[in-house]
Amino acid sequence: MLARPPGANPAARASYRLAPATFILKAMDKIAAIRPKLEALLGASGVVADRLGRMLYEYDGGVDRGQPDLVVFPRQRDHVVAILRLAAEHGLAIIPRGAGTGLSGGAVARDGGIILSLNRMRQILSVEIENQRARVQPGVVNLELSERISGTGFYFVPDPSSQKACTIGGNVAENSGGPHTLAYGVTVNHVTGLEIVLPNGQTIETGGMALDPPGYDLTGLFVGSEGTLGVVTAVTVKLTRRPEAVRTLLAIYDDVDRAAESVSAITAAGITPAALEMLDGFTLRAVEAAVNAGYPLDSAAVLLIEIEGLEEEAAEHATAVEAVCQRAGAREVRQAQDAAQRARLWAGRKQAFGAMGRICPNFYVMDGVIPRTRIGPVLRGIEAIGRRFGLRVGNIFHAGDGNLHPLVFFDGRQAGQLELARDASRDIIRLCVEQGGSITGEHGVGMEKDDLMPLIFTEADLDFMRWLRHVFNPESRLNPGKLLPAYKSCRETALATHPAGAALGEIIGAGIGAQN
Amino acid sequence: MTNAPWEELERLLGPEGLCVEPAGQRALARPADTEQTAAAVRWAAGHRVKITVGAGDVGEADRNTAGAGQPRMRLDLARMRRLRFFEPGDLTAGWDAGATAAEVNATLAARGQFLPLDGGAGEATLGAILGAHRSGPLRHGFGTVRDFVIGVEAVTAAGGDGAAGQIVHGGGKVVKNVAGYDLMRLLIGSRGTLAVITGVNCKVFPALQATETVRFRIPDWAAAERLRSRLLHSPLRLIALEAAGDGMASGELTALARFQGSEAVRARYRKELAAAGGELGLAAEAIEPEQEIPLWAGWEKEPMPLRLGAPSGVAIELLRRTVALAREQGWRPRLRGRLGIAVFALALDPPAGSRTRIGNQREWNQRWRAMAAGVHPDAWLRDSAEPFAAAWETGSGAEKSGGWMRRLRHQLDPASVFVEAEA
Repeated sequence: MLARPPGANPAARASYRLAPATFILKAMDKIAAIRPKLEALLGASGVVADRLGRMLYEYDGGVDRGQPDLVVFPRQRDHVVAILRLAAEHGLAIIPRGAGTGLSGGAVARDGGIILSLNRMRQILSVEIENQRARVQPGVVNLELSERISGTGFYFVPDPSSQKACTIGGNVAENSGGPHTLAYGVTVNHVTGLEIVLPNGQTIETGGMALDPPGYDLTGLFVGSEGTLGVVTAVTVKLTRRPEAVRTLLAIYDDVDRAAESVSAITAAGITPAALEMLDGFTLRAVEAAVNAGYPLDSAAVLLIEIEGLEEEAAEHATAVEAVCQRAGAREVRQAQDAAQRARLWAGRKQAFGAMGRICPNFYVMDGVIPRTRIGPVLRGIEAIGRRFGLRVGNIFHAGDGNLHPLVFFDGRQAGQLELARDASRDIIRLCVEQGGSITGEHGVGMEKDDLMPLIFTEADLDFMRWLRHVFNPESRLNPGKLLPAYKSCRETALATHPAGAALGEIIGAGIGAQN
Repeated sequence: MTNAPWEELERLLGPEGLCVEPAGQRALARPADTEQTAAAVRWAAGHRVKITVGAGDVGEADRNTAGAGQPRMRLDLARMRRLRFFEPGDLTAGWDAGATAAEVNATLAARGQFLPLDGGAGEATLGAILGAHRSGPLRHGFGTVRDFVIGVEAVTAAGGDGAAGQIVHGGGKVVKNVAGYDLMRLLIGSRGTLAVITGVNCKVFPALQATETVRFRIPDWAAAERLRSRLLHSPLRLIALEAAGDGMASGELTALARFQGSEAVRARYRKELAAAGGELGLAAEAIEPEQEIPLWAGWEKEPMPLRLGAPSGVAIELLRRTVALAREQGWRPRLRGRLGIAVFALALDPPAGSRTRIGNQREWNQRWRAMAAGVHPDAWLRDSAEPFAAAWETGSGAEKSGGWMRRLRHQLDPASVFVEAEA
């Protein structure tokens, strides 16, 4: 094992846990001392201190909760610098946050502290088409950038399902993906430079508009670091030429295994679609009921496949993909005939998580990765895990890169259901790892999976990462308790009950019948 | 250094694994596997021996003078070239870092797959390619190792003498993975200064389909800029877009556009490129099929000591000024590089019979950096004759993040065990 960097010593946290009352009192003193300084800096509207206001920031898109002591809203980089300096002076934790759409608790104040909400820093600072770059503040909403430059023929590629709400700063923190990362890569492949404020208040710049600047790739290190190394205050992103032609296909299957085999067969045929998504029968029925995307209710699975390129390339590849799917056992392959049909097919995929709220009070969205050749066996394994726990599991995921998103349904109003769902989800993640995969493909580790990191990393690996964190965030005050293993006894988790909560409906029954 | 410590290392590596110079100040270590590499790093840290990673001879002079006077050991991974796994159905594979690009692609070719490791990289090892962040023309269509390396294994010196020689991993074997810090991105391009890369996992690609190349003869800088912009705004998805020039007194360049696909797709590319050339008054000439593969196989094989880059929109202006600055000195510039993404290799040849270039190179580099700052603050120059740290301590990166790079290096190698490898 490597020598542990300061701050990584479990004993330090243990002693902190032994005297919670003292700690809380000290924290309250610190908050009382820093609050007027922050209000002077940001104005009264820039600081939320009342309990009701802070409750809105107790959670992100996942199920983890933690109450912040304060929430602050900087509007410019100098505010971020001043806030971090004040937090350093008072020994308080800072938790950066974008739109709060993350699914791993990355923006949740696990052990209190100040939430630094960056969504008022939302200026597009420059667009330079000839350089294929834009520079934006972190609070710019993902989709807004592509909309702003829609007349230029260029766009910002990363497209997480939450792209209408999530921020580019959040995408950078989590190294977000989305359906089209299969061909174009995740956020890190589309970021060339960052402006970062470190926990001591110092501002640094990494990368820039040019590729390959000399020195270490600090941009690559910071992207996906989940706000544990610094606070990003500006992002330089690549802009990509829109494809000339797009073909969207829906391959329909009576058997989930045939759909899984199609994924491998498309890969083996040497075709890389822009997107290759899969919905199982249970999930597509729920989606269809809510969105009316045109998915056949009697199917066991569908693949949503998108091909892009020159008109000739797209046409050839669409024909080839259709043939591959039919050889692999597709019942039917449909092709969208116009932009409206294409948008309808995609609406089902993009609005799927929202649609799930209609059929179950709560669901736990998992994020795991497996080799693409193992999709069939892993889906059967997931079904078996669900049966063992007595929970329904739906699957909607990025099949082309093996990035699973099992949805574990539960009723949080019943005692013990969340824990059951969490245990089932963890077994699913273990299954992914057993198959040679990873614990997260795009949602990040956050506070959801920090304790699962030892499934894929050795203690030496984790200590090396702690050394890296120690370089930039030596006191671990920036987003503490995230990404690297912490101690579960510190963790408090509550449950958000879905307002449209209802008993499991008919759709679930139909799904079970179809899958069997 | 006395013989005893070297004998201790020989016991760890075996007689095949170590060759020591008679004076006992320099050695060549060839570990057989990652564990032996870790043992060698641990031993080196304990005996204050500097390590340079890379192939070479035992007596080869090290360019870098850091730690001069201390015993040096070159760590050559030539015995570590094992295929670790290959999942053709998943388009993933992993090797020991001593495997060469040619070996890697021979393995993949048997299953109709490949890695875009071109630009004369054939005999380079994966470790060397990653260490130098080396790339070739196919980068335009496929990206660099930073885009397709999905996992890495390395031996670190972090934690100081007592903890050096730990084996660490980043990433994994799947094509999408955001667990933990991105060690791949950090170590790629670090020139062996942070750790010894011992294993590399990659996302691989279906083999190239039939390819063709169209050549444009460009008379001057203005025409070069018009062609660059015209192709940027076109829907073409070229797999390479290169520029090459020799002398370039008025900006005479050759541009090469490479593409792949079926006959129908290639016909469309030919048509679009001919149309672009027609609009700009440039002849678009198809390279004969029998010349196309040899052309690319021989591309960038000659040594080019300088690398420069800029935002693509100012690249041609930067090249124009670079050539002028070289010609002021009486040097003849030669250029090869990625026109589409503005990363170039440059050689500056002195007039026949003159040996003045090397002596004046450092001064010229400074003049270039001052000139380039006026073109764009993010333009950069890297000279393989300069220490790794020079570019980020003297270039535009110095005031941006140079201090933190130094701090990072110190934190991950506090005893300064690692001396940079050649570019």
